[in-house]
Amino acid sequence: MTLGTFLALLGAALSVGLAGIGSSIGVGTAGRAAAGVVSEDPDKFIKCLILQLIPGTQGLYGFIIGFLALLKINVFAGVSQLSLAAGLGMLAACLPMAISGLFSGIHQGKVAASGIALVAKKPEESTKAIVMSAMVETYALLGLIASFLAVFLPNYAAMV
Amino acid sequence: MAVAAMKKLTLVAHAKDKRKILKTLVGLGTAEVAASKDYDKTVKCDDAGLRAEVERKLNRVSFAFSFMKDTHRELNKLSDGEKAPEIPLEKLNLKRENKLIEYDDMISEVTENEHDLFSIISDLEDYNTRLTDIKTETARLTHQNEQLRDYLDFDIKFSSVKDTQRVAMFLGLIKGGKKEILLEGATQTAVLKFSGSGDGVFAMCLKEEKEQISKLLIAADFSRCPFTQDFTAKELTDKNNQRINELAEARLDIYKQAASAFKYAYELKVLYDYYFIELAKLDALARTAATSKAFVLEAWVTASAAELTQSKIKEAAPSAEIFVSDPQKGDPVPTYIRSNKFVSPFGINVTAMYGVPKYGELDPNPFVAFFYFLFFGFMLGDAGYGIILSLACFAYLLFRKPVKNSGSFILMFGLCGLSTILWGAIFGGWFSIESQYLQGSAIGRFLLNFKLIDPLSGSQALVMFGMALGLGVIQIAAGFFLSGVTKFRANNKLDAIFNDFSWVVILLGFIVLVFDLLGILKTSVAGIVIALTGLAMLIVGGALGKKNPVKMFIGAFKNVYGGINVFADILSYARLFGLGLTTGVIGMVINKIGALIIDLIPYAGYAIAAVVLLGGHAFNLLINLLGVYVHNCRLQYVEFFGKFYGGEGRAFAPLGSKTKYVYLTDKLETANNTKTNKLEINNNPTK
Repeated sequence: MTLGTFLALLGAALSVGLAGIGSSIGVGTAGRAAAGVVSEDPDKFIKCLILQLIPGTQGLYGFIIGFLALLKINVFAGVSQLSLAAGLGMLAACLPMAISGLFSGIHQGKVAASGIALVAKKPEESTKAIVMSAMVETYALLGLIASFLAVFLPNYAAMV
Repeated sequence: MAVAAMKKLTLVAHAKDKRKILKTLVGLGTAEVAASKDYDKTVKCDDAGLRAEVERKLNRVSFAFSFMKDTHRELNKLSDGEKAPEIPLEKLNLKRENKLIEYDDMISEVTENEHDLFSIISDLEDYNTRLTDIKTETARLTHQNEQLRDYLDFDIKFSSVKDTQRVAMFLGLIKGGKKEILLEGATQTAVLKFSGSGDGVFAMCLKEEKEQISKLLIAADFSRCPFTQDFTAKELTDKNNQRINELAEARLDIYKQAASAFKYAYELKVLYDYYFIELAKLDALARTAATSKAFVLEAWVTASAAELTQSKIKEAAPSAEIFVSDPQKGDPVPTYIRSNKFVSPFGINVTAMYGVPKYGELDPNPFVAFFYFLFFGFMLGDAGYGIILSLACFAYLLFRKPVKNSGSFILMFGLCGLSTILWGAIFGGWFSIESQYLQGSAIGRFLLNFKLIDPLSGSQALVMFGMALGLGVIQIAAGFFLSGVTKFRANNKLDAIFNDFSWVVILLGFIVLVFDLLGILKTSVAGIVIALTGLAMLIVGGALGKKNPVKMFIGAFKNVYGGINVFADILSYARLFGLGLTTGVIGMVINKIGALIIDLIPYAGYAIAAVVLLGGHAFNLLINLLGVYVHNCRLQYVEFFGKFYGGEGRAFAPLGSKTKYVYLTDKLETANNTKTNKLEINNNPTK
């Protein structure tokens, strides 16, 4: 394996790993709030669960970028030997998703937790809580799109 | 398809007709009672006593529901355990019924059953009291058993612990660890016995030594045993345990008896809603001016139902005087939106969540419905998922037949499923199966005929990205257009043309320009010219109505600078592309894992792969449904509504429309349909 291929794999790993960390912290924060509300009123379980799930998407986005990067490196059928420049390029391409996933996941979790508090008081307003936490996700989506375009469009294998 | 016109209905009637008129209004479901004019300065009737009575009844029915719920849970728990086998567990349904009933039927049902139902409720209340008693007694006995534990080692009746002629006796507890004090200080003749735990102590001594032993006991923090019964501790504990078992059985018996009330759940729900409406009636009355002989009632009705409402009230109370008038400026008129079958689910589930339009404001629902429908499929983007979603939703609607608007959420998703099929076919998404496999079968080749764009093949991803932004440009242009229309209607024509329509022109110019660059249109500079015209209009718009040239310049600059926000808004539509991608790629991963399992494990691999594929695609569908629903809402609320829509209206809530367990029929739409058949209504006053 070339150093380039290693760097590209590192990029995929960071995208899946960091975005996953962001989501797990976010889902964890929201989950603690949800458990508190459900202990008072078990009927609110589904509404709380939906809100808890929302910060989980960053992890999925990170996984998508990681998977696409793996596709590009062709790990499923004989790994491509990337040049150092190509590897560095792929690593850089993965970073927008990795970074935006990490931080937006954490902060979306906080908004979701507050949203769960909103559901505790006014269950009929749960949609508003969901929309509010979706605001944070915009930036993870932008990271996803930036990374997608950067990973997917260039022909890294041909780079010298 | 718009915000329905409203009329104000004012009636003066005899106090004795009050109930009849309110009953008519609930039956029609067409009128929302408004507060009387100058409410604070007028006479009104005090119904506080009646209100308290209705509230008390509502509380009793609510108690019945919660008690039945507890009963169901307890019986469930007990039937799981070994203690009570074979408890026939009756079904208990405390959910909202999918049932539409006439108010008259509700009244007759309640009049017929009310007495029996309340006697059932008082039975339940009685059971509850008995259960509380049982609980208290059980707790007392359990506590006593705990106290008795320290004396279990002494085989002596409590009643026989008393001084005889020569001997003194002590039974009680000492502080743990102070046993030594007694053992060291005791006299030769004294008898000391300790319980296994060391806390309980029995002492016997000669009368002459009583004082000495007493002192020792006090030093060991002795407290005398409180029991004096004619039993030993063991006997007493056994007796208590026996009683506890009896009580547990009695408790079970009570729950079993209470379960017989389960079959009245439906009747109780009707009863609850009946009193719930009674409460709404009293609330309505509390807002009307009244003397002891007559009252004035003001209500909002839809214009189409005004005539029907008027004639029905006349029927119920011929002496009532009714005036129908148009709303005055500044009146808090509620909003009732009349939409067609396609638009209304979007109106109820998307727009109303944000806020309904003010009376007279533009109804955004048709636009919301169109864009929501369009974006949904783009974001989900898999025709296979679309088919499943539509089938599931329409099957639910077909078999369950939700009454009134209770199925609108499902209907919305069913419709969005159709949009998903459409876009999915365009993107070639069929359960994310890669096109090289689809090529292998006849059906696959047929399905691929519809494929226009492949989001996962190099530069075509950019086409999809561009389409997402293009859809954004269209929606934002529509937003500015609607804002302009609103201002135009409010007679701010210049403002509309130069501040809103100018943006429509600019965005149109961009669209032409892009088509030109792509080679679809041959327009040379037309796009740039159109866009620049718009920009010029926008600059004029900023300067509009200002006299000071500096202020004019600042205004124009602000307007152009505001363009940054518009472009930020357009970029926000990139999420359409991002979410579309998510579904496709995760689906692909699931398929890859499935294929890998089949390759790795012979034979059994197919079964495992089937589970993985089913579970995986179900997960993918659900998580993306949530994401698409949320982000689609956001685009409507922030990017679209931000341009033109306030949503600060108040939804029309006619008397009788709010119920908790059943639905009441209303004449809101029938009145609309039979408007032309007015004669028929008058000829058949009973129907």
